[in-house]
Amino acid sequence: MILTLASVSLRGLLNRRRTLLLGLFGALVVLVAVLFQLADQPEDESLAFTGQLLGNFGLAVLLPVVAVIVGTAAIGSELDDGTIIYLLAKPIRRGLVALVKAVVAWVIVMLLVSPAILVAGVVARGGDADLGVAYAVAAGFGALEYTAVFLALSLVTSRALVVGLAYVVIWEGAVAGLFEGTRILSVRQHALAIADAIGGEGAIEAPLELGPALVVGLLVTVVAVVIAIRRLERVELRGETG
Amino acid sequence: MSASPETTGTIYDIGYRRYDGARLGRRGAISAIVGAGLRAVFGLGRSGRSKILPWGAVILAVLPAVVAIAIRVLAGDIIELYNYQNYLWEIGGLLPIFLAAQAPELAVNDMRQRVLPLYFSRPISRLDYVVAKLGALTIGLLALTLLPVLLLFLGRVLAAEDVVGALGDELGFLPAILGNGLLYAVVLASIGLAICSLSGRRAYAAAAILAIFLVGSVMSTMLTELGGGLEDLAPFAYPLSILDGTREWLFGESVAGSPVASAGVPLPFYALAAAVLLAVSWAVLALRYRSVST
Amino acid sequence: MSQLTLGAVSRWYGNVVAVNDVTFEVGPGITGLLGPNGAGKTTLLHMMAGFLAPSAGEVKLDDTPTWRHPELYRRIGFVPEREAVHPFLTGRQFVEASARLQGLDDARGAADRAIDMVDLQAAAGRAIGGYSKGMRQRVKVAASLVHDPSTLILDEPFNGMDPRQRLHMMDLLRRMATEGRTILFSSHILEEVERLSDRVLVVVAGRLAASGDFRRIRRLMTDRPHRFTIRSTDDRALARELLASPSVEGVDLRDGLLSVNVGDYGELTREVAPAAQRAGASILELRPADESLESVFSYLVRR
Repeated sequence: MILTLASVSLRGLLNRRRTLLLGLFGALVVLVAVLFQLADQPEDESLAFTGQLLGNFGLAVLLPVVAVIVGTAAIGSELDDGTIIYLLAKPIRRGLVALVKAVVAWVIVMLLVSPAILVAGVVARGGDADLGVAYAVAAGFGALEYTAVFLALSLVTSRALVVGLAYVVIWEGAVAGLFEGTRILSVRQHALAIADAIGGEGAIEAPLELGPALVVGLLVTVVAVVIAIRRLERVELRGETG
Repeated sequence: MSASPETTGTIYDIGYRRYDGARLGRRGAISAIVGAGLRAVFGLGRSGRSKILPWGAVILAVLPAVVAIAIRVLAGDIIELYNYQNYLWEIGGLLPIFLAAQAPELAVNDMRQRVLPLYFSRPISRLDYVVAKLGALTIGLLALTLLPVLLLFLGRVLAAEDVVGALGDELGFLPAILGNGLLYAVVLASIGLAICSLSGRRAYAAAAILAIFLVGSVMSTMLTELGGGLEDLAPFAYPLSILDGTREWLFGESVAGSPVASAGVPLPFYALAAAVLLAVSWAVLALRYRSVST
Repeated sequence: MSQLTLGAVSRWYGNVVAVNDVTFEVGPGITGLLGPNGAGKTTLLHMMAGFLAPSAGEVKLDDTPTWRHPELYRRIGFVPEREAVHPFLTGRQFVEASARLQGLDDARGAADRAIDMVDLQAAAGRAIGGYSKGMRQRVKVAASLVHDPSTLILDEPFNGMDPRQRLHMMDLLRRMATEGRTILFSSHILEEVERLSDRVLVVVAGRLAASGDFRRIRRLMTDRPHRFTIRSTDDRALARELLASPSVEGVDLRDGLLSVNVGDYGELTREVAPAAQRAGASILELRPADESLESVFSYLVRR
């Protein structure tokens, strides 16, 4: 049963166009790393650059954009066109449906983002995998948090994609950068803190401490998933003519 | 039997009537699409919420010009944060946001709700349709790329002590202002519309437009910082810097802070890149709308 | 045996009342839910299928409320009105997935049987995205009965089907009804409901306007005269005699046919033979002219 749910969700999320575009996006990060190698920069430059690439491009742009597109589509697209009814007209607890979809979405985001970041990191550092691994793992955690939040968002508003993008651009881009107090509520900062702790070598500024970042991150994830489960269990399907 | 008073009775034909008046033909259809497009771009005829973004963007774009003029009037010629050359670069972020918010309103709904066959069974060709939509979006964008700079121009002239003399001084800039505004508007409209034609949902089209500009901006910054020859590639990752380079080639004067300045690329290449952007966008539009089945 | 019960059910959205104090029971056999568009049919069906909560009252399947009891779906098959089905799955994959999600052991076998029942074998291997409207309806029905439910709820099931497909589907539903299932379907097309259902529920503007066998409902509509058409050897003479009877409210001689409006349905049957004798006419044909669902329906809608 769970396998069927997962399989249908997976196939729905990974349609040809979406996978291609998001995959290309990831390839772009690797491309920049390759360009860096071709530019033949001095060794001490590579640390700062890789931090910029993996942190400000990989974690700050690639990860959230992929997560918002996949996360809002996981349940959102089926709610939109009404096909969700075929998954809910079954003797399965709706909460389980929400959970399976969340996990599938998370895995997809990870698969689209982490390998790209890993490879980019290895290439940019000329073979040293430390930074790549650190940021790839951080991306996995960030993917979990982002996906959960956007999944819950898709059950709260029909304009989840736009709201999610606005959150990433405005909140994480501007606000959390400016005000120290708000940093704890920024997924990007959580991910950066984890990367830094695992093996970031101080390549990029990660002002949050690992402990609080992990705790708040997990808390946000759990709360988002609970919200998603509750809302799906209570969602009412009107049908076109209402 | 007495004669009954004369009464008249008629049955009126109130059935279906044909239209015998003037038909506006192709021209009328095109101008109707442009008009409707302009209304969509500025959120006219819709709820207040859909007006916030376009009008907000216009206000924010015009604000620096107003402030600059005010400073000039009050405090004289002390600082010049904004001039004709760097204005569009400085308000750079507003352009993709406006584009991402309004271009989908203009183009995606028609595709999604399959209204296109209705359009094409009228005396307009597909080319007319696309040109009309492009025209509407371009005119809309002019509110951001031309209007503020024109205001700056007017402000400089009117705020000067010798108005006629100032007019003479500044007049030389007018072709550049007009040309530049038009250049930016046409290229951005083409890119925006092309992206919209590829997507079936407004949210995805908006996200795609934002992503391209956002990623481009970050990429070009990174490449510039990298140095070692890569700063030459930097401007080409970001549509707005390509436009800035083209502007510099056509109208002179570089802008500090733009990747164009740090790159050593000969200026004609930017114009070439802009032409490529236009060509690709138009090709995408042509292919997309040609394959729409009627 | 499955029984769907609605007790004083209402559903409103803010100021708009979609369903207004509806009470009825649906048992085994085929029941048609009839009403104009916007009458609340889909709202009622979605409440019965557990996708909407009633704002007031109770909706139950065999004493269990349908809202938030997903275990009931083992016994319910639902065919929604909305066209969209996962377009990236083939017909077979979709029906099989439905079977698996229902927890069936032999999902593939059940799916094959369901596909056979709706006559979709030829297209089962193609992606649903390429299906015609009729094929999509059939695959939806197949998915809804793959787990052999005792209750079937179908919202406008014949939408988009050509006449042959419709006959086939009607046969299928009749067969399932004779096996003891409870089948409820909605439609705004009178012929479909007339042909298929044993019982009719008429919904107008959110209220239940009538329920039961439509012929009996017709007989209850006493403030409207019944209409008969008669062919005889001497229509005019017969008309004259019939007009003498107090229960006859009007006669009509047009197009070679004698139409009679009677206030009391039974009175005419008693009057017509003596009237024919007095007139010296022989009756060749006698038909009720408005014992159709259409006349019942238009009467109820206009009320």
